[in-house]
Parts: sequence; structure tokens; C-alpha cells
Amino acid sequence: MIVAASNLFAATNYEKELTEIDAAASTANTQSESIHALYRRACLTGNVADIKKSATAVQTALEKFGPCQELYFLAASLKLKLHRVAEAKSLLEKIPPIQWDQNFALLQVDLAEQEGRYTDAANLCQQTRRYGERWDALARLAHLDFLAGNFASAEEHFSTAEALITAKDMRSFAWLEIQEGRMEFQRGNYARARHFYERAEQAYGNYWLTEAALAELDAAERKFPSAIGRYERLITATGKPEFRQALGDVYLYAGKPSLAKSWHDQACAAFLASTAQGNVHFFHHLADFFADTRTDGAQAIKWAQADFQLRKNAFTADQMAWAFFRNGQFSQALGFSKTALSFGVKDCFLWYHAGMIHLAADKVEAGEGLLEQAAQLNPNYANFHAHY
Amino acid sequence: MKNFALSLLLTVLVLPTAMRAADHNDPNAVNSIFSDIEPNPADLYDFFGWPSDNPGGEEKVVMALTFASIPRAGTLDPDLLYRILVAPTPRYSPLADAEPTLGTMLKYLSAVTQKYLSLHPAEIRVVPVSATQARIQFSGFIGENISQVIDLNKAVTLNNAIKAYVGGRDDAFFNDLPGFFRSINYAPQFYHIKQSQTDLRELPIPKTLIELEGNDLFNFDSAHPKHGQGEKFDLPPGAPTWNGNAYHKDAQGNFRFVYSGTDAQAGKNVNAIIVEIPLSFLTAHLQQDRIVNAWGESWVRKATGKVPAISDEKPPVLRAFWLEYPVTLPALVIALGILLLLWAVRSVRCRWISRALILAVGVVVAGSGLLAAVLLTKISNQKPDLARSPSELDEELHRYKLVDTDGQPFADAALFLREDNKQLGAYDFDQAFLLIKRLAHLGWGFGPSITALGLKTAFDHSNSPLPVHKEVTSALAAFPRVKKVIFQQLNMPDNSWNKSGKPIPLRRPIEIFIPNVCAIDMDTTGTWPYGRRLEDQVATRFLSLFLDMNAEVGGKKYNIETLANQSLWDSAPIGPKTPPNPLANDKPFLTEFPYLADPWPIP
Repeated sequence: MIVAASNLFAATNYEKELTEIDAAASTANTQSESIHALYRRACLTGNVADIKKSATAVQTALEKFGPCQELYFLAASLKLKLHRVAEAKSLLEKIPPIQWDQNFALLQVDLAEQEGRYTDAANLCQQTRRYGERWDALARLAHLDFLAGNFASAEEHFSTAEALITAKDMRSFAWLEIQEGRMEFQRGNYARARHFYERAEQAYGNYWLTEAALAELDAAERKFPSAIGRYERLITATGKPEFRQALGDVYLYAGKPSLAKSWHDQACAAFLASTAQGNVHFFHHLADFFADTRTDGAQAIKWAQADFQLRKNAFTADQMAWAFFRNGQFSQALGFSKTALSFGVKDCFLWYHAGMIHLAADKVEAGEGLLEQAAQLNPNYANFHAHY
Repeated sequence: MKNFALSLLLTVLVLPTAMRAADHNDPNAVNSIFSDIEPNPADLYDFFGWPSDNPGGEEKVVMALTFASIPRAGTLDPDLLYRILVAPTPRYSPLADAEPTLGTMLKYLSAVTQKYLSLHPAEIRVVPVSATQARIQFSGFIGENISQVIDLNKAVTLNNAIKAYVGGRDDAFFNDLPGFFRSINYAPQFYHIKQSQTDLRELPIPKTLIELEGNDLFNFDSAHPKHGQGEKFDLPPGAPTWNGNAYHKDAQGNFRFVYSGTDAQAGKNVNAIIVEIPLSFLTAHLQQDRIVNAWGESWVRKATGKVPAISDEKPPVLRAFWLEYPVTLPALVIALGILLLLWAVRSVRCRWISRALILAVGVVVAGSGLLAAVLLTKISNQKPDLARSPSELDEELHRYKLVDTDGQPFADAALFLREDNKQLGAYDFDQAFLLIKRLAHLGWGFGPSITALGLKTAFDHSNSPLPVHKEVTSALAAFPRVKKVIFQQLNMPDNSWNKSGKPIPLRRPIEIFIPNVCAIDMDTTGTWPYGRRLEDQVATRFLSLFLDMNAEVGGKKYNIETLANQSLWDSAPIGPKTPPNPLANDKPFLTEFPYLADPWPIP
């Protein structure tokens, strides 16, 4: 008893939590306990295989137990993680209005964002606050503020969210710090970004999300050995193909294309293998990969279109535009770029793409203006950034 | 029904940040009655306080704060901090011979506000430092400050004077909590309701002490006798309302009581902080300061508190404008006075007497403004912790956030709806209008059912034959109906409570719940409402608020123990024939420190 109690005084970290979840999964006596553990694992690792396993378990339970709003909710949440927006929406529609609550509303916020309905998402998020202040609602608001370019408001929402998280939930706190750090990163404020990432590391050790953020930051600051080390550790620990792509990209930035190739090949093979299994999660990775790494416009268009069919938002429209740009189809690229800009999202990479596309389409003044705006948003936008 | 087990678990994982408690149900943020909230060590259960029973010896006061035994009885959660705030004052009876008017109530609130805003409570703080030890700290008392690391689960004596115990005990609360929840149609006790389903807490069904015919959501179901007593179902589809027109009666024509008299806390443990302190450690004015006002607080470490480099400047709770900006209004008054002075000086054509008059008025106005500025600034500096920004708290408290407060039983659970933002402890003066509305809402439910039982109620329900579900929106409109409930003196069953024989006025509900403190009267036995002794059946006493204390039963005036009288129920047309709540704890209390019974074995 004393041993168990003394563990309470130990710091929480990723491995400890993962071990606890796996222990819970292996000792689960009921289907619900098993689903519980699988869902927690999927949320913690963000691994596609874990998400699919959890989704399968939920689906099996739905078949066994019949309609159940909690299962619909979980299924919708997992579908959304896998970018299956229409299916998520259809599942949410099965939840009767009497069961709608803040969790339901926040999932609707995520859905609206995936569908490019950013204003709806923000309004929905504000509406959920009548139920009471929750850090995860505020974090979403902060993110939506950031997309809209309201940085002061985003910081305020992040700060309020931080104060709501207790010591019982250090992972959420770390996650929040990473999001705030990423906001700073995307504005080119590397020192502040590192400050937040280090807080995340202090709060919840060995978290792959923190390591990934630090790896990206190291690479952007041209600390290549450190970035490479981090990505290698991430690949070993998580097996995620996006980190293989990122490591290849770092080698390219470091002027070592020969070392990049193998990682890029591995990433591409993993993306394609997953897609061949019917997964859609890596469409956007493939679109980026073929556009920027392989500069294969035709392939980039193929995957960007596939993603755009699933999710029509500022970023998938931008992806379409950039793919057409890479394929030399500047007129189509311009059309999609204008669509992307029409969402009102203030993202330096989106604006950089738009600037380049406008220049290519002989809209020089507009193109230069957009590049200038991108630089204002993030003076370091041309530096390394990861595609995840 | 088939999804019962599944729902219970699945709702938990939707909110990965939630924590776990087993509970006396407040505040909502840590209320594990909701299917997605886990039991939480921040959930304070009860605050007990009474003068020690040692006639002729040194006067001592016993205080006990109990809370959820998470992670287990005898082990404290390392991220929690507990405080007992203590403020001895003279006996204070601004309502002596009061007429029950709204004006009287406002005067009372004003007096209490002034008193508590200038109060400097001393503090007992407990922070776990390891799995087996906690630091206990006494600060702000007349006696010297003490800070000592003590073993958990062991009674210790500090400074040869103060007894202290921190650790696991039997839950001293004995109560039919499910019965109370049945009386208010509180769905989370009976159905899987998530915390965020705010519309599905107290369902829009009349509150009642007697079951209503056709109230299938809450009436006792012999097919599921444990429903609401640990067993929960999914809420059936359809509007959760009641459209009946009668009380439920059995074949013999008896009503069915919503209470069972069963102790829902039997066999359960708590963690507790128990102290026995000489009055001379609390105050230098032993003859004047006869009331020991005390309340408990739980604070949970903020995530930022675990990462020390992080600043945390969340905005504090805003107080009234005149307290937040104490100089602004007086400055306007001063400016007005100065304008009058200038006007008088420059009004050369006025008669001298007019000028002198204006000058005098100007001086008075400006002087009043100055005086008001000084007074308001003084008052505004007396901030409750809730109104302080984190930087104004001490270094340790800065790293925690307040979760729960506990003073009076049922203040949170019954009167202030367990709202997170109503955890104000002693500083609940601005809740007076809510109190009126809430008591009226409860009165429309309990009042008619008390009448149906042949008893007299203090609530004016206009002879309504059945309980009514009424959303009371206007305190002004509700006051005439509820004024007796708020203002009537609560009769005691006999004079044993007044051990000193001093002329101590009977307490009134308004005095009990505002401020929300355990006001231990050192000249009494400390039985509720003059404190709270372990053996007090406070849940039944709380119901007696709705009885008309001028009425008589069996030749004796109604009192706070009337509903605990078995003979009353024996003669009432109701089943089961039991007082609403058990009459004694499941385990005998100890006659010596730490008084609460030993904990039950942990499986």
C-alpha cells in the first residue's frame, strides 16, 4: 500500500501513462473497460493503428449493444481523428438532442473546423462556454483566434485555459503548452516557442508531441544534429512515417540530400501502404510530400484532390492550389488559392503559397503583397517547418 | 438499461481530465454523482465543530474537516491542500426581535458584510509531504505560529496544547442521501447524467417529501430496489416531467415516503483533519469572543504549480464596483464638494448667508467624500482569497486553486445548487436573493407535502394540495411566502443545548446560512445550529426549516428534532414508518480525541 501511495509523489510521464493504459487493457474484464483503454491509448499515441483498433472496438460494441450515444460519440471522435469527416458527421447526427452536451458541442466545433466553417466553429465554441469554462473549449478558441490572426485574444484564451488545468492533468497542460508554442513558432518567435516547449517537457516528460515540436524548432534554428537526434528517437519510439519524412527534410535543409533519400523513401512507402489499406489519414501527407519533396505535381494533385473530397477547408484548398502550382497549372492553382484565401485564415505558409501562385499567374502586385503579408506574419517562414 | 455498465465507463473517457470522488456531492466540478466525474479528494464532505466536553477544564474547541478518501483512507493526495479558517468573534445577534421584512434582511446582510469584510481569519493548513506524512501549519492565531510535519493516521500533540490528527476515519455523516435526492428529483443520483448536462440535474418535477402518483422516474420501484442507491440507469427518452394530480398511495391508503431512513454512508471512510485547540490559542478575549466561526477549504495544485517557472496571473473574482475601486465614487463626491466651494467663493453677488451655506455644504460634501474614501479603501483591503489575484496570495497558496468550501451542512448541496462559483465560504453575503428564491422553490415542493402529512409548514403555499414545480425568478415576489422559513427562530427540543444558561437567542435560518460558516457557540454544547456535533442528524434538522416553529405536536412546539421523532411517523399515514434519516452513525463515535470512529478496513 505504501509503495502504491508513494507513486503519487512521482512525476507523470508518457511511458508511465502508456504502461498504465496497457495494463488496464490487458486486465479489462468487460468490453467497456477494453474500449476505455483502447480509446485512451489512441488519444495518447495519436497512432493511426491505435485509432483504428479503438474504432473497430467501438464499432463492435455498437453492433453488440445497439444504439448508444456514448459509442456514437466515441466513434465520431475517432472518425474525425482519421479525417473521415462525413462519417463523423453522420454518427453525430445519430445522437438525440437531449444528449447534446459540451463534449458533443466541442466535437461539432472540430467538425466545423475540418469543414472550413471557421466562424461557425468559433461561435459554437463561444456557445459552449455557457455550460461553464473548460480548458479544452478555451484551447479551441485560442486556436481559432490564431487562425483568424487574433493573436492577443489567442494568448489570453491560452492563458485562461492554463489556469484551469490542475496538477491532476499534466498531459493536458503539456499539450496546451505545445499548442501555444506552435503558435509562436508559426509567427517566427522561436525563443518563445522553445519556452513553451520546455514547460511542456517539465510538465509531462517523454511526450512524443513535445519531442516533435522541439525537433521542428531545432531544425528551424539550424540546430541540425539535435533535430536529427530527436527525429531518430521519435521514429524509434513511435514508428510514425511523418517523422521519417521530417527527418529526410531536415537532411535536405542540412545540405545532405543523399541521407535524406532513404528516409523519404521509407515515409512515402509507409504513406502509400496505409492508403492501399483504405486509410485516408495520410492523403494530406502524400500531397505535401509529392508537392514539396518529390515535386511531382501530378501525384500531388491526385492526393490533394482525394483529401479535398473529404475536407474542404482553407488548408486543403491551399494544398490543391500548391499541387496545381507544382504541376505548372497556374490558372487552376490561382483559383484554388483564392478559395483558400477566402476562408480568412491568416497562415504564413498559406499566404506564401498564395504569393508564389499569384506571381506565377502574372499577378505580380498581388503576389508581392501576399509574400509581404506572409513575412509580416512570420519573418522566418522560409525556414524549416515540418509537414505534420 | 442494457448499456448501464458501458455508459458508466464510456462517459468517463470523454473527459480525460476529470477526477474521481464518492461523495457528499459538491461542488459540481468534483461531484462524482455525475457519470463522467471521478471521485476527487478536493470534495469536502463535512465540517464539524463543538466546544470540548471538559467541564471546569480549559475551554477548548474541536473542529473536524472531512473529505473524500482518495486515493484511500489514511493516504492524502499529494496535489491537495486543505485549510480550516478560524475567526473568533463576540456573539452577534443583529436580528433580535426582528420583524421578518426584506428591509430587516438587507440590514442583516449589510451588518454581516461589514463584519466579514473586516475579519482576519487565522488558518490551519495541511499539505501532504509524503505518502505517510503531512505538514500542519497554524498561522494568524493569537498563539505562536506552528509548522510541523506529522505522521498521518496518528493523534499528536503540538506545543503541549493542541491535539491534531490527519488521516483516515469512518465517515461521520449518517444520512439517507438517496432519499434527499429523490425528494428533489435529482437525476444524476438515479440516471447516467454527465456533468455538462446541466438541464438534466434537478428535473422539472415538483419536489416532495411524499411520492407523487406516476412519478416513474423517481418513485421507489420494488423491481429495482437499489435504483438510486448505487444502481443507475440511462434516462428514458421523453420529456422528464410529471403530469399527475395526486400523491401516490398504497393499497392501504398510505403515502410513500421518499426517504428510507437508511444510512447511505454506512461502512464508508473519509480522510479527515481533526484538531482540538484551547480557546486561549484562538483569542485573547475569552469572555467576549464566544463564537468560533470556522469553515474548511480544499485547494488543488494547479498544473502551473507543478512547473514553478510558470507565472499564473488569472483574473480574480470581481467584487462590487465600490470595493474594486474604492476611491472612485468618493472622488466624485469630493469633486462635487469642491465645485460647491468654488461656486460659493465666486458667487460674489449672492447674499453672504447663502455663500456661507453653500460653503458649509461644500465642506460637508467634500469631507464626507474623503471619509468615504478612507473607509472604503479600508474595507476593500479586507479581501477574501477569492477576490485576490494569485500574486496577492502567499507563495504556497499561489500554486493552488480553490475547489470546495464547507461551512454549513446542506448550504451547498441544497441551497446553492453545488455551483462551482458559489464556493464562497464565509463570503456568501451576495447570495441572499438566491437563498430566498431557492428556499421558495424548495418550499413549493416540501410545503404542500408537509401539509399533506398533517403538519404545519412555515412556507406559504396558498393551501396547494400538491407540490408545485415553480421556477422562482423574483426574490421580491417570493419573499412574502418564504419569510417565515428564513426568519423564524428554530426551536430546540429542550434546554440541554444551552449549557451555560446564558440568554442566547435561538438561531434563525438566515443567520445559519449567511455567512456559510460553522459558528461554534462556546456557551452551548455546540449542537447544530450552534456548531455541529458528530451525533447531530443535520439532514433531518435541515428539513425542519420548513416546519412552522409556532405549531405544536403532542403538546410540544415543533423543533429541529420533530421530524426525527419515531412516534410522529408511527401515527402518520405513510410508509415506511421511519424518520427520514438514521438516528445514529453506523459506528459509535469515540469519547476522546480524535472522536471520529476508526476507519473501516480497506479491502
